[in-house]
Amino acid sequence: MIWLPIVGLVLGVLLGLAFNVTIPPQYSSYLSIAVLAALDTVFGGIRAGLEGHFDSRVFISGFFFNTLVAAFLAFIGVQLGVDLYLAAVFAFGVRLFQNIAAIRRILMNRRRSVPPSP
Amino acid sequence: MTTGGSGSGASSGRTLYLVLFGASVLVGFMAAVQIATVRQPAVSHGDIVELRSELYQQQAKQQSLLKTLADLQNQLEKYQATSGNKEDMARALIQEVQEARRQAGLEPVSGPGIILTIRDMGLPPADGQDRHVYDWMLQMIVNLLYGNGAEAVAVNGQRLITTSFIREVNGIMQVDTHPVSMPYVIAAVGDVDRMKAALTINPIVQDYRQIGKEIIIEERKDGRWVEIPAFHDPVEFRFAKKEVSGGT
Repeated sequence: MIWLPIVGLVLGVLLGLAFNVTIPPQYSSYLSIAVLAALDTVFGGIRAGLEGHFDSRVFISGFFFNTLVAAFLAFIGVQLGVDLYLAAVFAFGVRLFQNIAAIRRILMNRRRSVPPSP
Repeated sequence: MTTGGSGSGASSGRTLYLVLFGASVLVGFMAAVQIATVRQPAVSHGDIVELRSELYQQQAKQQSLLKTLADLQNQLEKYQATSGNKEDMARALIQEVQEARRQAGLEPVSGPGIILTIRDMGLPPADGQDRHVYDWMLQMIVNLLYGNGAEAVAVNGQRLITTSFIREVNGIMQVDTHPVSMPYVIAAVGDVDRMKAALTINPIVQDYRQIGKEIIIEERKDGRWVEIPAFHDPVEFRFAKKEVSGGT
């Protein structure tokens, strides 16, 4: 079942490309940050699911809240003339790697402890 | 943030994957939109400094363009008496310009009118009589025509406009510095009847007759119209500037 989010990701990309939706270029930096934040949240959710303490309410609220906050941070950065979005890129990037590392370790431990079922 | 709380069992697992699936679809969609947006323009592969300087250049350009835009919009608002689409407006502007050019005498015109020919009657020379046609005599004719419905006048093929003048320089008649000579042909487009009546009543024709010149009036009403050429010299104002506050 771990592949379900990946299927969803592919489906979403195909959907987006099929509709060929574009946004004004000046907002593209906000969207990129939002995508990063959302991606981080998804991996966080996968990790939480694997660790057995997934809460859909927390996940959904975090998904939207993180996305909006990241975009807002980028917006504030543009207003201030500081590349504040780098903070979001850094934070979400680091956490993304941490989450992926945690997922990898969990999966590896599971394979090692539990023999793969047919 | 994303994690916390508790939950286990089949239903929780199902919601987990359902929610994750939905979130992934959303992320994928956002990513695709972002990709489509970024891919649109030609991506320049410069470093941040290069991009910054380019950005500043573009911003300066944008500033000037915005200024131009504001100016043009101002101009547009003046013309925008009626709400119409841009093509109509452009057509209206072109029409307006052509109309202004026509009124200024920069376009050739034709229409009903009269052609006056002032020529020598060939009388024998008389002692002590001045038989010269002076510039003011031509000016009077032109003024008479303009005062009685003439809309366009040309003297010997020289179109008269608002700044035109008729004067003699060393005995040579000039229309806007172009020399003209006898016989003088004055073509006028306008109200034929009024112009003819004015020429009949006014004593100027008699004055011409007294100095041995006759005025032949040829009227053109239907079909064969009077054709008057455009003013060809450059119209230039060195001292008269546009009144800014007065409006246009």
